[in-house]
Amino acid sequence: MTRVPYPITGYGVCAGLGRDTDTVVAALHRGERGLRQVPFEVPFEAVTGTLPGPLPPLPPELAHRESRTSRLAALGYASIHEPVSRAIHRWGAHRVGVVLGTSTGGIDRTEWAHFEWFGAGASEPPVLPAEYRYFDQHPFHAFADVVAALSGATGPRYVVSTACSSSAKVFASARRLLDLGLADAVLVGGVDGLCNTTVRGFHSLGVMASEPCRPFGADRPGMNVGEAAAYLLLERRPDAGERPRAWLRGVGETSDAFHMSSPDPEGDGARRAMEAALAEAGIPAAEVGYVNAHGTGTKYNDAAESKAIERLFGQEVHVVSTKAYTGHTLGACGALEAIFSIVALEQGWIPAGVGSHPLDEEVRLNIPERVVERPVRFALSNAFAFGGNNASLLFERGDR
Amino acid sequence: MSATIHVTGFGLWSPGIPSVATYLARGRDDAAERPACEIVQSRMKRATSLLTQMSVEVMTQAARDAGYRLDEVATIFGSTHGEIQIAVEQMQMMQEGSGVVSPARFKNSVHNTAAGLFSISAGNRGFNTAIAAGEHTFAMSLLEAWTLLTSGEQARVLVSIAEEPLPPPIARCSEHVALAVALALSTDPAGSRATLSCPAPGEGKRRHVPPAFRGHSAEGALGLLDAIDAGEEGSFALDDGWLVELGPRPDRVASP
Repeated sequence: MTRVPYPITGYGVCAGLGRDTDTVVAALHRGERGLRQVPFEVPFEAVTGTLPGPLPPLPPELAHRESRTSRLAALGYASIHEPVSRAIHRWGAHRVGVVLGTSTGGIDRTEWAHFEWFGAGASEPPVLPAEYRYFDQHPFHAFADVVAALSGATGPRYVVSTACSSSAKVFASARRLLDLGLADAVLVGGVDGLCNTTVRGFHSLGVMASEPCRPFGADRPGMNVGEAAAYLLLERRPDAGERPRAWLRGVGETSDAFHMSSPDPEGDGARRAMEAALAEAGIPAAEVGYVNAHGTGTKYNDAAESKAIERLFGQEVHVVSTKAYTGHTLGACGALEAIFSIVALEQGWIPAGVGSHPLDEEVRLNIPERVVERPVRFALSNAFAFGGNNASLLFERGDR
Repeated sequence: MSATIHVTGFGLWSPGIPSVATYLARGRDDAAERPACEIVQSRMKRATSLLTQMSVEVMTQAARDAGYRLDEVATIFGSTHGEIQIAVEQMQMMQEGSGVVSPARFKNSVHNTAAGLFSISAGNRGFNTAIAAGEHTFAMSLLEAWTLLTSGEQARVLVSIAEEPLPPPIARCSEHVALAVALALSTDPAGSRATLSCPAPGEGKRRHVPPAFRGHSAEGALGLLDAIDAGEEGSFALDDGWLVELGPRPDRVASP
């Protein structure tokens, strides 16, 4: 069944590559990598996609919402405030929804409170820092409430948290709200700040690199965790005479039913998600000019994903994992990489596959060594997660 | 939106209340300390939280109550607080010994752990998701279910709302008890026990739920279960701010 395409009328981002959209996109084009030291102490070597410079505090009226994820959410939101304000003016605040993804929310805040309490002797009954406010800061909704408050949007608001596919799945949720007339515009996106839980957690799984990651590369050392806030605005239709940034043409959502933290080695669930996205647009795989791979840089993800991409697209299509630039931004990567896919459509270039060469012998994909300047009409972006949760997004250039 | 969906089954688990029947009878079964979760292999169950076990249990109960195949139905797992016990356990590990966390715990620490475990245990390769929305988690999970069904994307959906208690040292920050409730929903009137409208902003009627469950994320789901059991109709509160219109079973609607 082909689906109604919806225009994407704005996007905004901050990540390891930069603090605003233009800086991030320019760094991607130049082939710079936004990988740095972990911004806190951990008992091992690690490189992370850390936001450059300090994160500005929340405005005073939102200060009780303090967390790294909320600060990141607010900084990234500044890059999309203008189109969101225009949408609120156009449709009414109650007709603008907010559907965001995250994997950890404000967990760093409870880490901090717990460390303070434990470090001071683990008093009983527990005395936690006075500035710690669990319900306002830690749970998933907290950063989404910050974004809603900054934007003024009062339509349906919720968080999808399916680990690393979270902010790809939000596109499907938003599209249903538009299809059924429950909203006329939806701000979608994903936010995840760096925290001990994820940096130490991925280290414990033995998949974290102590050097910059090399997605699809020979002897790749594993992944780098990253942080980002990435947003896109979907609307019912573009403003009269306005060309949208891109169109959402398809979403595929599947499960592996295989393992909690490892992909099906044949990439079957991944392939079905990509096929479902193509089917919704009613286009053959050959029409796609760029695949923004999930490409975490781990042995197993990249092996399974490259099989799935090759089986569906062959060996010609350009494939890049932008996680080599930003690290794996977990709950933010779906939206972040949707933006990178749309940049390829809008500006007519595909980023260099930095770090990937020399390629793994088993990887038979066309991963460019340098930026490829060429027009692209369709781009597909993958996001796969713990629990075997897969999502693929298909975008078409704005001048369709 | 005027489209309605059908409620075709329920699941419920709380310590001492292992089934919908026990809950509706306001009974207790003190032997029910952990959910049976019989679809999950014991090897996989071991490293999972009470939250995940309760969620998988009530989804399975609701699917069986409705006669749905476990390997085909779409699932939506709602929880405001998520895997909070594993999260805090990991924080403890970070400050003891080598400061490294347990891989078995970490891979079961994500909000969609129950969704993944259900998918793997049931061999379900289709749609699942995990939702959170603060005080509105049940309402937004039900909204996601309603949109999946009325958009034509799915014919049968299970939606759950579940919380486990917060552990020390944050236990006092929200003193809710362990409780999970699931609904089986369908576009097909076969087996319908009631109809639901699209969740909408507004104030609906509140059912009196047992005092231990007042203010719980699942209070609205318990209210629906009680109201449907009592054959009631009208606007019912999902929480402070969202309501749903509960309609009668199709076979009880008077013909014109």
